[in-house]
Parts: sequence; C-alpha cells; structure tokens
Amino acid sequence: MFFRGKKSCHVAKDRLKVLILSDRMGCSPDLLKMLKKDIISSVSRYISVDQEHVDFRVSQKPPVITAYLPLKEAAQRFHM
Amino acid sequence: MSEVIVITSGKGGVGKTTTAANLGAGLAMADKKTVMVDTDIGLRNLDVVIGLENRIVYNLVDVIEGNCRLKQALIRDKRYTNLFLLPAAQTRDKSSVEPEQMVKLCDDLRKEFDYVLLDCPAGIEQGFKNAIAGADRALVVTTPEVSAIRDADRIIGLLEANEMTRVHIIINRIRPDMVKNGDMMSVEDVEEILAIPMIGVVPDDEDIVISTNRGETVAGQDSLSGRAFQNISRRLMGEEVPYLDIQGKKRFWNRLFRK
Repeated sequence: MFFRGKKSCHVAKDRLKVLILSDRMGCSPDLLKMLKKDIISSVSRYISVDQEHVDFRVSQKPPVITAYLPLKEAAQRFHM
Repeated sequence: MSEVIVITSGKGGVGKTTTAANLGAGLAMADKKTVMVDTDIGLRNLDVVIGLENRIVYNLVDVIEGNCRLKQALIRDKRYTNLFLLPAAQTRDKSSVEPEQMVKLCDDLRKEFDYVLLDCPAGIEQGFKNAIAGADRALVVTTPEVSAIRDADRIIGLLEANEMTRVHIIINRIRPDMVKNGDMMSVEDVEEILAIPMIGVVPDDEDIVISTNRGETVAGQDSLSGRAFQNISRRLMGEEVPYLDIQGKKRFWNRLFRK
C-alpha cells in the first residue's frame, strides 16, 4: 500500500475526471479515450502538443466539450 | 423575503439529513424562523436525527391531502422555539405526492417562515423531482469519495436541466489528516471536478455521531463540525464568513485519529 507510487487521491481524481466526462457525454470511457486520442493525433499532425498536460472538459449546460491542448513549439519559441 | 432551499446529493448516506438538521438549527439560532421538511416519504429520518420522533401526529402527506391544517402538522423543536419540523409520512410512498403539490406547500410555508429547508431523498426519481420542484436554490452535499462526487455531478446536471440556477456544494466528512497524506481528495480537487461554487466544508467529526445518538444537533456546540454548520448557515443568510482552518487544528486531529 505504501509503495504503489501514485497517491490514491490522484488515482481517484483521474478516474473521476474520465467518469464524469463520459457520464456527461453519455458515452463509454473507452469511446472517450478514442475520441481524445483522435483529437490529439489530428492536432499533432500540424503542431506538436504537450500530451502530458492535455485536458478535456464537458460543461453540462450548455453542453460543450472543451479541449485544452498546450503546444510544445509555442513554449519553445517563447524561450528563444 | 423567505427562501426555499433543497438539500440534495444523489447518493445516500453522505449526510443530507444531518446537514438539514444542523442548518435548521444554525438558522434558528440566528433568529430566523425556519422549517425543515422531510420529503423522504416512506423512509423518514429527520425526525429521529433531531429527536422529535415521539411528537409526530400528522405528516406532509396529511397536509397535502387536506387531512389536517398545515399548522397541526408542524412540530416545534425542543431547543429552538423558532425551528419547526414537517415530518414525512412513513407508511406511504413517493408517488403519493406530485411536484405541483410540493410547489403549493412550499408557497404556503413561505408565508410563515424565513427559511424552508427541504431534506431530499436519495436517488433521482419521483422523490427528488418533488423535492426540487418548489425550491429557489439547492445545496448538493457530497463527501470526498468517487461514488458520491459522481452522483453529485449527475444531480448538478439534473438541477441545471430543471432551470435551478443557484446551486452550491457542501463537502462533508473531510479528514484533513488523510488529505495531507494524499489519501483523500482535497476541497480543491472536488471543486475542480464539480466546477460549482462551494458554500462550506464539514470535517468528519465524532461529535456528529454522538449528537445524532442523542437526537441533538451539533450547530451551536463548540466542535469543528458545529462551527462549520453554523458558518454555512451564516453564508446562506448572505454573510461573508471565512473558511475554518481545519488544518490548523492538527494537534486536535492527530489526537482524534492516533490509535
């Protein structure tokens, strides 16, 4: 229990985020995973995305999906 | 300027009834004439939590069906003279009441009281629909657990779909020691996930169990949970109250949980 690495509150939060997203959208967590993957890969074809920090949200009213896709290149350009 | 507030959660056992009882006591202590309505028809509990179970003669369904006058069904609290309970019927079921009848009841109660607190049953069926029908605002009680938060999100969606615009969350049974160790989601985590403004945090507290055993409320007592509930009552009345520093009570908490 003590050496599992990730703290249980982070595991809970990650699971909840996926669960709530799929509940709100009315689709399965698997489908959601595929959708996320597709969005990231299509954007990545044009510009490189910092995949570690990608975040998806769905508001309930009005129902809107928001994808937060931080860009790698822009960050680098900024530091040049 | 009276207000009808529904206390709901989706999931059962997260503390709706305890919250209703303690907010009722908190508002009554602030000289607000308050009525707590148990809308959990068939599974009434608010009466026993506040120790009024032996005084019930008439109930909510009797009022709605016209078997008695509203005032005959209201039970005055033992401690606070401006706190009243309208108990649920125990031998009926949720379908004995329609949302329109609840709206009418809430409007009748508005004339008499400053605050009407509706203790909502668990679930999202008829009982929930009845409870939210006449309310101006909603308090969604959750605990920092995945199941409770998931259900709270579902409830928030349903409230929004029913044009309820004033929705706040109460995070109940938080354990600062576990949050500190990374084994319980923090207040910030829950707020981030639900994306709804919070109106209060109630620490997990042995005093709640002890008070409920006795049929008393913790609001007004010198315990962390008692102060937390009293603060929420004040925020309901529009006061700006700083949040309790539950982490600051580290020694107190360590003493409680060191076994």
